[in-house]
Amino acid sequence: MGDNPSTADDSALLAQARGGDTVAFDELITRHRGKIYMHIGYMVRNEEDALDLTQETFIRAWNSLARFDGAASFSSWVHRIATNAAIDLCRRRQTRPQAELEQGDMKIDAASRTTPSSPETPGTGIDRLEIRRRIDSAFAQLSPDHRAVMVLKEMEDMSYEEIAQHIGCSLGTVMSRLFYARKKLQTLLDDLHEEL
Amino acid sequence: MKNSDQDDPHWEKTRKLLREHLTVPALEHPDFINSRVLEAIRRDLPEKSRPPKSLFSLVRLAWAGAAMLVAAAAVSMLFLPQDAGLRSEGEFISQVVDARAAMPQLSVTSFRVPDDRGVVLWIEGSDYIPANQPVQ
Repeated sequence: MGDNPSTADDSALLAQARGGDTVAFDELITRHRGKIYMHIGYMVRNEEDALDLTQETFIRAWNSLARFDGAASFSSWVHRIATNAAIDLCRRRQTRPQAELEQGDMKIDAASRTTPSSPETPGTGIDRLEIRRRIDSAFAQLSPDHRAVMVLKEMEDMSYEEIAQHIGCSLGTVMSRLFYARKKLQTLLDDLHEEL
Repeated sequence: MKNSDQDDPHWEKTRKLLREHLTVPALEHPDFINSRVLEAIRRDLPEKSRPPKSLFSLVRLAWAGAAMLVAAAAVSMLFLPQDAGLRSEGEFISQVVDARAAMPQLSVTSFRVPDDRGVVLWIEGSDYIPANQPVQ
């Protein structure tokens, strides 16, 4: 092993890890675990699953080190592994109580604003715990693919191009998924705005 | 990484809500992730350094085959007499002393095969030997 793992940059650590150096890989985990855990946490909305998937993500990364071509940074690469792992888990769970908007019978004009059109529900104040529960519930109703673009765009501030590259689809697909995901969230959270 | 798209102002309210309330609990024991991942990696390492099981079996099979061949050769060298199969003339059950035919149209010739391991009796002049014709 060459440099001190704590001072070496990611690419040097990556080279060492590819040679079987677990100490270097340990340092890479330490550097990226927080971001990966947060990303997965937004996606799966469950602390235990987020922890398990974070571990699984790094194990997958270790097992795929030989196939990593180095075109992207380690951070982007492991982030992509995390997204795929989270989408896989969400699909396995099948926790979508409702069909997606574009697949259902609700027609949306592509030119329309993403303003909710559902009837307003009157309310008289609502606490933070309830707001969080409502948001979690609404978020859980998004499909795994929609949830992924929503997290990448709204929580992690990625551009459309970066999202397209990250999840391996076209720019149009990203925009479409984001449009429907926003529309659905706004519909589901419409009455919450009124109650606040 | 900010996007330049102009978002719907109505969406901004929802986005604000999401950012404020869509939270992930803090990672309380982050080193736990490292230890679990490294434990899994190190558990797999010895298996990877070992040759695949099927290849190991093939090598073992080849060695076993070679050992059996050597053992068989040793047994045959020790227990089988070197001159087995070579017998003296007196040990034969019958012997062709003379070959001649009683019928004038027949001719009989005998050939000894190499190593005196047998005799071929060659009969010419008849498609078959009649049943009542004694062969001596």
